[in-house]
Amino acid sequence: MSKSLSLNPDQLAAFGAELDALRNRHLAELGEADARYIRRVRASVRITELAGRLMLFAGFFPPTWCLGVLLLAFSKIVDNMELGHNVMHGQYDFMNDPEFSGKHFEWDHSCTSDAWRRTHNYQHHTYTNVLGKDHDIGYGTVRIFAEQRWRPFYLLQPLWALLQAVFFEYAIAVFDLKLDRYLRGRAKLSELKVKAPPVLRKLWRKFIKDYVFFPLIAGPHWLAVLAGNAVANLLRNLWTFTVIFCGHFTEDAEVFPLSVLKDETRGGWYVRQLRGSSNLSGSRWLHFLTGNLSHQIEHHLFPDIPARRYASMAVEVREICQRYGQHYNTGSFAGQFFTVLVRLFRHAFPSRPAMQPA
Amino acid sequence: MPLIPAALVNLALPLTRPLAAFLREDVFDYYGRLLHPQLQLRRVFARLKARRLEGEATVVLTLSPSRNWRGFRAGQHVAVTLEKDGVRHTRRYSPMRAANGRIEIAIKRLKEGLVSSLLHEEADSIGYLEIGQAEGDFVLPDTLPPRLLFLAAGSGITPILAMLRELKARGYQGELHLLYYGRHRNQMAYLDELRAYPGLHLHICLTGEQARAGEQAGRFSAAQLDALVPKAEGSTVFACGSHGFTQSVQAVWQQRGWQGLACESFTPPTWHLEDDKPVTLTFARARRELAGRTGGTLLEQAEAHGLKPASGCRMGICNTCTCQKREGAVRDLRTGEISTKPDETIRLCITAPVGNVVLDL
Repeated sequence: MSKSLSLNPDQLAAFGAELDALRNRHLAELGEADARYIRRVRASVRITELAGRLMLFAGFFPPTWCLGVLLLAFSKIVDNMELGHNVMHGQYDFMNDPEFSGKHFEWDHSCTSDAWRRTHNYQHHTYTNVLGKDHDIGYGTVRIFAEQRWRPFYLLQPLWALLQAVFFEYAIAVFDLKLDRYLRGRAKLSELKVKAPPVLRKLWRKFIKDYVFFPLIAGPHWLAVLAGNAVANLLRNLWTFTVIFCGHFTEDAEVFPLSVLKDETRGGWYVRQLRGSSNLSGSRWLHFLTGNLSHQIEHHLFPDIPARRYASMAVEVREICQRYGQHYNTGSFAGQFFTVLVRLFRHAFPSRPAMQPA
Repeated sequence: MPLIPAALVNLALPLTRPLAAFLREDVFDYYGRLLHPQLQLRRVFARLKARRLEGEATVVLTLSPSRNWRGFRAGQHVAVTLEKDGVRHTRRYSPMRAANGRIEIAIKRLKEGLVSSLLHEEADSIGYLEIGQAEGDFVLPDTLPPRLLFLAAGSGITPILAMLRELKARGYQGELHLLYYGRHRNQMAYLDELRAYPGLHLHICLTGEQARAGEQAGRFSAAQLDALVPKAEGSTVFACGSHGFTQSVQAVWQQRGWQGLACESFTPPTWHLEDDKPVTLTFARARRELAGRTGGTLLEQAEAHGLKPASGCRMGICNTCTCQKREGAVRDLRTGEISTKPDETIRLCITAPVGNVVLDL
């Protein structure tokens, strides 16, 4: 059941207009500060990566090995989240800099950036939490809303979720291929032959880089480097999985039937983004390390505004939501993640929606 | 201060090329520029070597490009990029041959011209500039014709002068005419060099002040052309200037049915905001010129003509249909803002043309 008031068309239009005005104010301010910020973020990614890899070359000496792993994990997390995810949304296209162009950016992740732009930027951000359209609902492996059809497969979903968390990078990489459709005979294998090669190429490249190339040039310390890279990738996978599952699968997050898309207005789209997303409250470091996905609501309302602005936008978004009687879904990281786990266990078993969405 | 000397960088650059197959260009470039601004896999940065004034309104920069630059043919143009307030701005200038493998670009100061003002005022603080590879087919033919006629207006002189320097280097012996138009004598660049050019019939045409002895008055016209260059018919002709200037030259050649005219203009056609008027949309990569209108998004119009640019949400959020606009005025449908900047990134689904537009698509 929704905690938000339903709005009539006039209210929806007014709500949309207020958010548009906020968006335009920030668009007009884009400039030097945003450019300097994202360049510093990139510098932090490059320098921690270099430092981390060099430390791992020193072998299994515990202080350097642990620090090396942490630096490398930090680099990968920031590269994927605050840098890659945000740049690929076109947030920094205003700079006209080819190195920060949303269309051409490449990241340290097994998922090809082209596939990401399709599944995430387009499908997920346009059809957020619309059943049957947004494949990010449960990522095809878990059932977290009563509205999703139950299958016996979901009984073991806590285990599926754990596996997905550990191998999150690869799960995301093959996500766009929608392999389950081939297993169930719903799509032709010939189609896979066309779609698979670029995905496999990127997977292979990333695999060679972390598990063959760097261990090889480390010489006698190859095992320390191999293990360090594996642990850094694991840490990055667990962290990104947790943050991303908190984005749309918390207790108060809503899903929508296909019918909402018919004649949906700009205001209606904003309301759906708001109700389908949830924020995490916390320190500046939490916001930075989540790539500001802790401001998931603002990110979904304004996906192409530089994420460093979400914190200040959030104050106004909250105030606007309050005036229109819209629930603003936020909570601590632990609290929000707990509600995700509750959903994960509850909807492993058959369940029915409390009330049909209006 | 760069950590390694430029000579070493330029020795190393050709050797880095094989790396392109294994390395991400932006990663190499990031570390490379920490060592030396020119140490880039593909991008070209040019060292600013000297700066001088030509006439009262033109600054000439002497640049030394890195070895990533593949050179140019006289008359071509290069993109020059500068950053201001976090935003990179690109303008096109015609490089000219200078001593020691260096090149010169001449920048006329424009009213409200952001890049030209920056290059005039802050050139001293610029160590390196990014330039693109040379482009354009406004170039001299390989076999030189017996008669050449050049028509230049204002800063349209730069590709023409590049060609004249090239002709001198190739020892051209034919007949050479130049009609050079400008408002005021003391703002016209390169007059001394042109006056001293051996064998050149130079006609200085002033449009904004009284002509002195040996000068002409008034804008380009058929009568003026006939008076100054009796053997214009059959000449190979290069004309460069504002859109209006090249149009009036084209009109004369068309009217008389003459051949051999090549034109290049550096200002976009003027536009007026009206509700729905026809415009021309040029899709540069598809090599198609289509009839468009100001009343619809570029995406809809491209699709209506059977083109299939990548697109996603069709509402300006997913960044799939982003492309480069080379020139022309466009309107952002969400903000209503009109932009005429060359080489800027736009999203087709939320952008409508305001005048003729050239897209890198």
